Amino acid sequence: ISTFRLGVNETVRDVKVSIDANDSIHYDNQALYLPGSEDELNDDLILVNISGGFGTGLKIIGSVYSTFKNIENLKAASCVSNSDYPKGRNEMALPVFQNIVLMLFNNALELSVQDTKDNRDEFGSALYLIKLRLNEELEKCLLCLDSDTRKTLMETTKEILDSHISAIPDRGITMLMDGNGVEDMWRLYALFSRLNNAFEVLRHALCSYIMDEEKEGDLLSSLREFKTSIEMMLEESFSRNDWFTNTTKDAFEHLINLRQPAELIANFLDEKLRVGNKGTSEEELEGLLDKVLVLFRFIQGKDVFEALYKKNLAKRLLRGKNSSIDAEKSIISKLKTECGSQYTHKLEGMFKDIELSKEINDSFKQSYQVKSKLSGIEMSVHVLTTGCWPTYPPMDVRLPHELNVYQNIFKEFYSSIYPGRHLTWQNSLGHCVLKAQFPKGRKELTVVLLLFNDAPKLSFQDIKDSTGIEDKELKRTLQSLACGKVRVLEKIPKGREVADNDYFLFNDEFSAPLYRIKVNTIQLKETVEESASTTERVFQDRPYRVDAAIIRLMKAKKVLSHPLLVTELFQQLNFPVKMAYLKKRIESLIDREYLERDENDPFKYKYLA
Amino acid sequence: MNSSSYSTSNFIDIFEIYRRYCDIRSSKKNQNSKEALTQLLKLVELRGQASSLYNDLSKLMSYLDLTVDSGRFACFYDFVFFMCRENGQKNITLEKAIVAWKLVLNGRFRLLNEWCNFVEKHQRHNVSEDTWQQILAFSRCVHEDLEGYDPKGAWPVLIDDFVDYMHRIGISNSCSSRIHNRSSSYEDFEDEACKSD
Repeated sequence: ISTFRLGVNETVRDVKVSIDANDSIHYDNQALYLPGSEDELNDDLILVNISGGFGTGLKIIGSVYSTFKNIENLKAASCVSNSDYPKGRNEMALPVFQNIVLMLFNNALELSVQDTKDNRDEFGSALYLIKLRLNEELEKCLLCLDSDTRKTLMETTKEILDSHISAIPDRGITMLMDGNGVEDMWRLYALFSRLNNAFEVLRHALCSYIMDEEKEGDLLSSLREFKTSIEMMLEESFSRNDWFTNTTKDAFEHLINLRQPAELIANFLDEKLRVGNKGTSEEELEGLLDKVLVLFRFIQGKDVFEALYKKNLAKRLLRGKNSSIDAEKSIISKLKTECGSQYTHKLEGMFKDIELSKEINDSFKQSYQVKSKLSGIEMSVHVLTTGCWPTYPPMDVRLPHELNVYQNIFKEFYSSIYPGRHLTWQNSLGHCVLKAQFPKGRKELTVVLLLFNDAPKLSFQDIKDSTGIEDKELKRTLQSLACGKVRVLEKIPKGREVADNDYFLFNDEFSAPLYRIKVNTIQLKETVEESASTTERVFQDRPYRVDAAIIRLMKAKKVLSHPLLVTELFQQLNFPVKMAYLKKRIESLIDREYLERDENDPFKYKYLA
Repeated sequence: MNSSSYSTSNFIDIFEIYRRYCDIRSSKKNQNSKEALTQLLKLVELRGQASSLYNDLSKLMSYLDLTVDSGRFACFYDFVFFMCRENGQKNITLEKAIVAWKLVLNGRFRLLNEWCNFVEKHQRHNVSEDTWQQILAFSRCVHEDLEGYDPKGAWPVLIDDFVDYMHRIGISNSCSSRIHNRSSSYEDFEDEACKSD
């Protein structure tokens, strides 16, 4: 139950007002008619001219009052249903009413702000609700007033709110976002939409909320979820306001690019596309790819992604580990729509190479060279176009004689079909199936290297001398064979690391339940190093990519103004570049006489053929 | 070869070089003119160390009437760059550029001192022909208070950096110091000229 003190001059009367559970208001009707109310008004009196009757007005003030009981200077309220009330009164009464309402409002705000300061954690979201409710009430109130008053009232409210908005977002946004308070957020948005600088404040708050987001564990899926929730918020609470859409987009881009998204996504896709990823149906996979691609859009260094993806794809293709060629192709086509055909050109080239290689291998097997000269070993060769594939460091290896013969014959065969093409063997990418006779049974081994046909015991140095493999690589290989899960070799002395003076023995004791055994090469933190060096290489390539893009554009257009050129470049380059960087590249091209400035307009470039 | 007042046999004086330079420039730009310029540059290098280069240039400048025609001044301005080139290199050293700027742009570029100070402090590389030429354009269309400068324009990065720098140190501040420095700048130049003698 609330009590209002209504007063005109010396006549003061208390009115008891109660609001029941159904939100309907009960009060003493008679008490509202004050004797002498036609007399001069003073500041103690509020006259509300409400066309809709008392109820609404009272409810307004009532709810304000009951929410903030401790505001002592709620001095008076008088509501007059005034069909017969003199017109002139209104004009005098309204400013007074305005003042009171505004004062109440202001106090309420001050209070809430104060409360947030004292009591940050609990009060955070409550503050919003109060503010929002106030706002709603004000809205109702405004509907009841004439347009002039409404205007002034709005203005003043705006001012008051404006002075407080900066205190609002920090805390509340986080709470609303975390709690997925779609409706509250919508209220806040609606409230703020009326204020001058409030959007900016809200935008900042939202932006920093997104940027500060900390995600751990399964980064990609949590990022994906986060993105979905933001999307929903944007849709439901921010009515897809362009401004906010852009803000969230930028903020999210920032967030994502803090954590090497190119690497994450490339590796994630690799995992999904490799053989052995059971339990995901085609449709599920497709859906997953779509979701990941949403994140892909935010990657700033799309060139890094390309390089990493290419590296992984190469591994999958060369080792025949693709779980589904359809899925592979579907990704490629998605990337193509996303970034243009230039982007996927090389990736598509890789698929083409693999298909062509199959044909070449088939006809190689049919060829007379094979039939006449070779027997026993089956060889399959991938012929890869340089440029489409990642570059692999050449490795000198002295191959066993049998393999050398095979390679030479293949070379001969290949150049008979494609004269003029140059073949380089990348032995480090090869793998072979080897049949070996162990005392405990025949096994077929897939291994990287074996020399133990001729001698049962070899020292590290011996192996190194006869193969010519460099230390690091050889150690890794031997470690895989002698210290890994599948120990076909025995190392003396025993131990996890391979040292220069170790000896290796053919493991007579070896047995395994399967006929075909795969010996995995031990990965020496390889992935980290590898992707770091891939990334490094991509960065080194960037100036050339910029130069190439400039030249391509200028070649096509001959003359192009600076702003146009720069806009085009920003569109074409799939990694972040600064304006100054572009300019430097342009200057360098001018210096190297690929371009010149127009004599009459230094902001125009001409292509020099 | 020509009626030079100097006695050395294969010596052509600055006036003659300039005359030829202008001839080449005024003929249509093509491969020939580029070659002609290279030839001329070789001839210039035959003169040996350009010890009296700045003296020559200022002599030439006082002889030429550069006040009337902006096109003629531009030609002379480019010529200065040409003369500062060494060993067939395309760019000129920072030290040379600064002395040359102080010589030729004196009274023509209101931010000359600020520019030279800035370049001296912040630029480490040589000055390219493009930057050299754009500074002339910059001096012509950008005012003392940097009005007329369009950050979206195609100015060389060095000039963008200069404008940033000017904004940072505050234009008003630098303007007063500019007036203050005006007399000393002239002395600087005199100093340089003496040294090169």
